[in-house]
Amino acid sequence: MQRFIFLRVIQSVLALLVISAVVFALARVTGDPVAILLPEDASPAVVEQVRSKWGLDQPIYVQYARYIGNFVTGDFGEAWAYGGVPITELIARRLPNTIVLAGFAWIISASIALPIGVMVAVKKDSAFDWAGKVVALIGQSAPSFAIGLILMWVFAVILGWLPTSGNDAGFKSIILPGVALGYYNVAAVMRLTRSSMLEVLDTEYVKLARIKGMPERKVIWKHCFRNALIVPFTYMGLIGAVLLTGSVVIETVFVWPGLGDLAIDAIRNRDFPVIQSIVILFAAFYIFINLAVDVAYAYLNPRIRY
Amino acid sequence: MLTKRSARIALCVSLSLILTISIACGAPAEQQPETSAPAASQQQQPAATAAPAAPAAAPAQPTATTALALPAGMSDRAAGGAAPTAEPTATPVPEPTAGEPVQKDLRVAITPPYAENLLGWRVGGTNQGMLQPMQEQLFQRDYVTWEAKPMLVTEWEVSEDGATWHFQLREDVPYHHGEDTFGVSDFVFSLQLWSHPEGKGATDWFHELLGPAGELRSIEVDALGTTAAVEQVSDSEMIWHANRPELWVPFWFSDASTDPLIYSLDYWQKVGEDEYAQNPVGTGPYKHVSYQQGAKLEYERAFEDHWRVNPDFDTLTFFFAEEDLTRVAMLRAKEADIAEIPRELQGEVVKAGFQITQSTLPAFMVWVGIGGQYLEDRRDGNDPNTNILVRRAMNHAIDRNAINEAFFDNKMELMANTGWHPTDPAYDPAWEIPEYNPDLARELLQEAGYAEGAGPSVEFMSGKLVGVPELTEIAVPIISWLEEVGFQVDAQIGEFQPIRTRYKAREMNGTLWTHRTGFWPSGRNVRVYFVSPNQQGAVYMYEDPYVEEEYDRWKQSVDPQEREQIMREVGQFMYEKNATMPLGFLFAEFGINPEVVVEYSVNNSYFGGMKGHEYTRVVRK
Repeated sequence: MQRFIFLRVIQSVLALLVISAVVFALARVTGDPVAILLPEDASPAVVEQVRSKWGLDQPIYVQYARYIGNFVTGDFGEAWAYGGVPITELIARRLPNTIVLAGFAWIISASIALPIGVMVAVKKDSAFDWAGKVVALIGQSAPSFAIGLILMWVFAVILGWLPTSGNDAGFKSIILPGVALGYYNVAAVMRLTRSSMLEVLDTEYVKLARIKGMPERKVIWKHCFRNALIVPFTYMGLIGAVLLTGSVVIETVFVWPGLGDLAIDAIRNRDFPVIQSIVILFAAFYIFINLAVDVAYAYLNPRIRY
Repeated sequence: MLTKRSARIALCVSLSLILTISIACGAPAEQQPETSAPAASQQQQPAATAAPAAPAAAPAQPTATTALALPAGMSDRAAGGAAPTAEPTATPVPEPTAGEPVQKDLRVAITPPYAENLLGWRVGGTNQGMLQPMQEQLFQRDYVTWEAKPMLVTEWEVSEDGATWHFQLREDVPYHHGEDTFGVSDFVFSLQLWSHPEGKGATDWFHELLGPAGELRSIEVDALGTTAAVEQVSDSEMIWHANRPELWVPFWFSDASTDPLIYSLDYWQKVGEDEYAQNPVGTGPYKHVSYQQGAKLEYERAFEDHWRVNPDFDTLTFFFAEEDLTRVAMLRAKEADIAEIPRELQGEVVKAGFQITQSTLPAFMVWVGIGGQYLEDRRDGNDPNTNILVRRAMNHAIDRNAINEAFFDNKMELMANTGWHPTDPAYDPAWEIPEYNPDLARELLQEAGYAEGAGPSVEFMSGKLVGVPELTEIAVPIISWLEEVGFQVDAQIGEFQPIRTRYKAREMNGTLWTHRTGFWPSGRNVRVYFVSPNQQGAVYMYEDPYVEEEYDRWKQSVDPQEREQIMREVGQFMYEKNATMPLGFLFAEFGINPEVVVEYSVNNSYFGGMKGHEYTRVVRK
């Protein structure tokens, strides 16, 4: 197990390095940030001054080495488009909002998908099962921004129950972006739960439990659900990272001041250090959660050995 | 039992979701924006708005703009520099109105500024608009006539040579922190910030004007608030010796140019830069309350009795919403009272009972640049764009009226000569909008030596720019019309960034591109768009030795009549050369909730969404 963890950590670090290099190169392919940062009538002298200040006059490999060197010491650099504000400060301000939103979306996904997944498995081929499939189909086929705008229109504009956007109306603020973000994953988790439950429901020990007269509720929720949980649990872990990183569009639509919204601003302004920091941070989340899930999975399922 | 209950819950959840989607899917049909142009009556501004009417719906002609007041600020005289002594006029103050306001808070939903930082000098003009309710400037522009009016100066005088300015500053204007009033040292300190090397405003321009002590470019030096360039007569009187003539000081130092906001030296010295950035102060009618980056900026009334204007609203909040539909939803849900609404969604908000108001003067100028017309060092003799017959053919190939009707609801004021608005004193009414005449375009191409159907090959680039998202859309019919008369067009529609990179590098040979800028006097347009790097041009679109010389002469001249004549002659030259493909002038447009806002006197700037809110009038009971 220790060897497995060690190898996975090494792989994770390598993956992060590759990602950082790719992002670093791709960001620069999009064009010269100075053209956006400065007014159109900025003189060549000012352009050169700004280029020199941000190190853009250096060869790209020097820029990269300097960036990585600073990054590993926790210095993410300064945000060009924000007048030199330290990026760590920007991220520290925005990250909690993203975590709260992703956490809420995760709860939405789990609390809707797991019970429905179990129920559609138990009521296989019934109207309930078909209704569940429709929910799943809509969730998987509709982009989250479209769901978000529809929810905004219905619950904020037409009904007036919830705010359209922002994060200053307390719990009410998070409902629409949380549901819009979480709904996409409802379908996937529900389908996984359903298929996993169907497999477990068909096992000998479940049949035996029923023959012995165990109450159906206990059979399903204690014996079946627990055993069927491994696959959806693994996926739920992964979608934790997906929700964190997938909040970019939803945060923009709902003016939720998180990392996703910051990423869009940074891309719009070609603020390379901010783009790089956010992407690497997102990648690190993803890799870390993957790693954690792999380790937890190994512990949870004693049959799995590496 | 529990299973049945769970099943019921799950069923309810599913049905709710399906119901939600069903309702929602029905909603857009009901809320669809009208495909036709909103009725004229729906497009009108609130009754009390003093702004002029929109340009006529019919194909706009230069003479059709008489409804627009003369932006006299474009001339040297009204810019304050022509006469040795300018006579300041009274600051416009709204008349007091009776009755309780229906609402104390004014909420404005706008697209986020390019760069957010509460120290405006660090991020330049695009950001500073949102700071103008809090910080004032030396001058302000009249929202209708564009005349220079006093703000923090009360009187000014310029020497015959245009290089020495005598300012009388407004006395006893307090800052929000309550421990300081505006004075000469604040002006000098602000000038030092604007010309600071880390600033992103018109840094070089201010530095150039700073005068003999121009080396003073760091805020770390001891002598903050003093410079040999500025002779302090008293705390409220100063003589500024600029190191070159500049007649447009009242223009550049006004809210029209956004950059030169006034900062408090006293507060800076007490709290330092970081704290200033967290809790900025100014002398404006609103003071800073809170700021949530990427989401909102809140102000509240700063004084019971402000020297310039007492706003109708106690608080002012800007919400930064990137998505157009989010801003529409905010207006319709009455979470915002004023919102930037893109033209294609305006019909919908009007249908829902909201109003569209527009800027008092045009906010944007839109045209197609014809690249490759460079000085000898970058000129390619084989580039078809350098042939005047080809350029004339391009201008006659496109149907401007159709573009206006299809994309702008006929609200664009068509333009005869790129860079010259009919209200500019250097404008010549004899200039005509190029006629749509494809046959003539074909003839011109044949005259230029191209066989029918085998016209010149050109590249056409188009990318979106804030304020005029239609730039990419209008490119499609333009390309089609060009191809119709025989041009072989290689179209590239996408981001604006590659276009910017290329014109900055003077690599636009054989290329056309859609462009927009703010509403500026011809002198500024020539400087930015029609001169080479030798004359500190910026967008290298057209270069010619004649224009270079004339522009240089204009810069050196302090005779207003001569300057006006030079600009007219340059305009005539550009017009005759068919230097660009002029399209039109556009107004900034906003949705307002008429239950809350009686009048929003949007100014002409394309940062208009952030400016002038202290003059917004509330509905009263």
